[in-house]
Amino acid sequence: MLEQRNYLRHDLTALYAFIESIVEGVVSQRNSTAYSPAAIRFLDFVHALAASCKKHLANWRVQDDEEFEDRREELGTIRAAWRELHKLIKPALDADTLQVPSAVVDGIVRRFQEIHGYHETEFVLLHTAEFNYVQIRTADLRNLSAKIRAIIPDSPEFPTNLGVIGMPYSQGRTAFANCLVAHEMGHFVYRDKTFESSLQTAADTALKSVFENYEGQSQEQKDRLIRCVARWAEELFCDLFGVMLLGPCYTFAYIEAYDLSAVLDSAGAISEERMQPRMEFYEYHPSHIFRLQQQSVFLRESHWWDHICKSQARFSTLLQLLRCIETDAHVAQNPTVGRLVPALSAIVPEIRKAAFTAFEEVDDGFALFSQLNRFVRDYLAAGVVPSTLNIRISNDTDDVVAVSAPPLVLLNSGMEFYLTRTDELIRSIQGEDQNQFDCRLRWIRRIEEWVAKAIEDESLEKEETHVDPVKNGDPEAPRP
Amino acid sequence: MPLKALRENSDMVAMGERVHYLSLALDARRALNAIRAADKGSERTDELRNSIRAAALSLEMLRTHADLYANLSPEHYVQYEEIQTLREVSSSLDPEALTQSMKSLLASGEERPTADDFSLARRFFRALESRALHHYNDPASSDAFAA
Repeated sequence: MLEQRNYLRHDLTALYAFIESIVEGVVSQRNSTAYSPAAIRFLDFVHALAASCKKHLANWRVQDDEEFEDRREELGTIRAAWRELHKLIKPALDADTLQVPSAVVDGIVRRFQEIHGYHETEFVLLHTAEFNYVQIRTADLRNLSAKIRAIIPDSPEFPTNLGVIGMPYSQGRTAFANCLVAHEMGHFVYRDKTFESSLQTAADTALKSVFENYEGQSQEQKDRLIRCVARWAEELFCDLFGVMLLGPCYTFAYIEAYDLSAVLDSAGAISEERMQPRMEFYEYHPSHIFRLQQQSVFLRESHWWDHICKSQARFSTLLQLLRCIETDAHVAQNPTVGRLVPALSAIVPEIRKAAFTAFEEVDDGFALFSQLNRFVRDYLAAGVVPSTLNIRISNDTDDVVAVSAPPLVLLNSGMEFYLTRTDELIRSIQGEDQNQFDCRLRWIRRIEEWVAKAIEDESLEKEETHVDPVKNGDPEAPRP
Repeated sequence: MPLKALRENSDMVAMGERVHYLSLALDARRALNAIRAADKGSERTDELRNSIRAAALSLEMLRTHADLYANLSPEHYVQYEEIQTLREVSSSLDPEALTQSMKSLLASGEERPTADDFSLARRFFRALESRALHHYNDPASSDAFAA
């Protein structure tokens, strides 16, 4: 009978073939399809990692049985690493620039780049088959690639300043729903800034004070409790991050995505029947009502609140009503995990502090929104793309300035228009019927396209403003 | 344990913990390679110390029932999955002897670790890598990296 060592050639070849099968599309497709620079950086990383792994396997040898015992599992570990990458590569190859909503998400990324330390961060967008927005844990990817380098020394480092976000394949044409990517960017920052460690410690402290007989639990049980509260804390952080990044349009996108306005009854009060199921916590997420309540409290303390109350009657009613729900009500609605809710509530100040830390010295954008909002809405009402806003600054008809609104303003003004003035727009158009679904859909799509186009135009204008004349061959440019 | 497995029903998914098992397997692999190199050579290198330090410190904390998970530090394992796997593996070994072997490998003095120290440490890291891969390969958890 052959020793197991003699089968290694077969096992190594099988692993080699596994890696080959995963990356074979990368080279051909990368060169034939249009990808964003961020996607190309990611695909280049995968390609280089495959090359180094295959070279490692080609040279992989064991001298004796003892070495076989020590090293055989290494092949399983390398295979596992490629199983991780497997799920990302096909979506990355599928998400070329013709398939992803580049204008809106690019605009949100530009807003993200205003955060200190993230000026050069880019995001690769992937499509998910499920209706899920997901942040791929690039901190973990980076960590893993460093660990692989310890085993395979010439393998590449994960690209710096690169995030990966998955979005539902079906949402490519929408503008406002994609505001939810802000939440995923929050995960990126949460991991990057290691807020995890401080909030885990805070969760432990909170559990000690509010969870009956916490100290009597085994260490494993305590760890599970901490993990549960810390997971919820991360989700709350990401919601608050979304609000700070994009303002109330994040919350409105959230309400719409989960149909949370359904908790209002016909008189505009809370419907207990529809509210209660939405108060149940999940293993990985707080309940939608708890999350929206925290966003409501957060917005109420922001510059945006007065404007929300004036302009968004329906949603501001909802946000105000949720604000008053007591922690006990959340506990009562969650027989299994309710005992953990007070611990989560206790660390909300720490979560908010983390969100404020992330946005230190970043303008919330409200002042500019206040100045430009009505112009953007007027342009949309007239069916004009609000790319360049011509604003008269005196009674003189020629005294006009041309202003481009940034993505934050366009998304919030556009969302406000979409939520409050769609009917008015349709009524203003001869032959269109606001009660017909296909008609409404057509004009909603138009509003989203106008906003997306304005964001794209603003991006192009910025590129032109920041163009490097030397790189672009301007002979008049001063030389360094 | 008050938590039952609740069905995840959110559209912004947070299931990325499985990757921590893979991370642990890679750590164990690095340590094994370093221990092998040190066992064959005459000197203990920084690579050996760096590759086993987190496991050694975490084992020591588990042995003394310290709050490993609640007090995160880059010096020891920080993820729930890492700590649980470490608990599982270390419970089948003699904790005193294992800790002693780790200390011996970490020490920077003249005295060379014994063959038993190397042997026990290798056995431990082999078990750690296998156990971590076992958890990683659980078909029920396939959504690593997503958060």
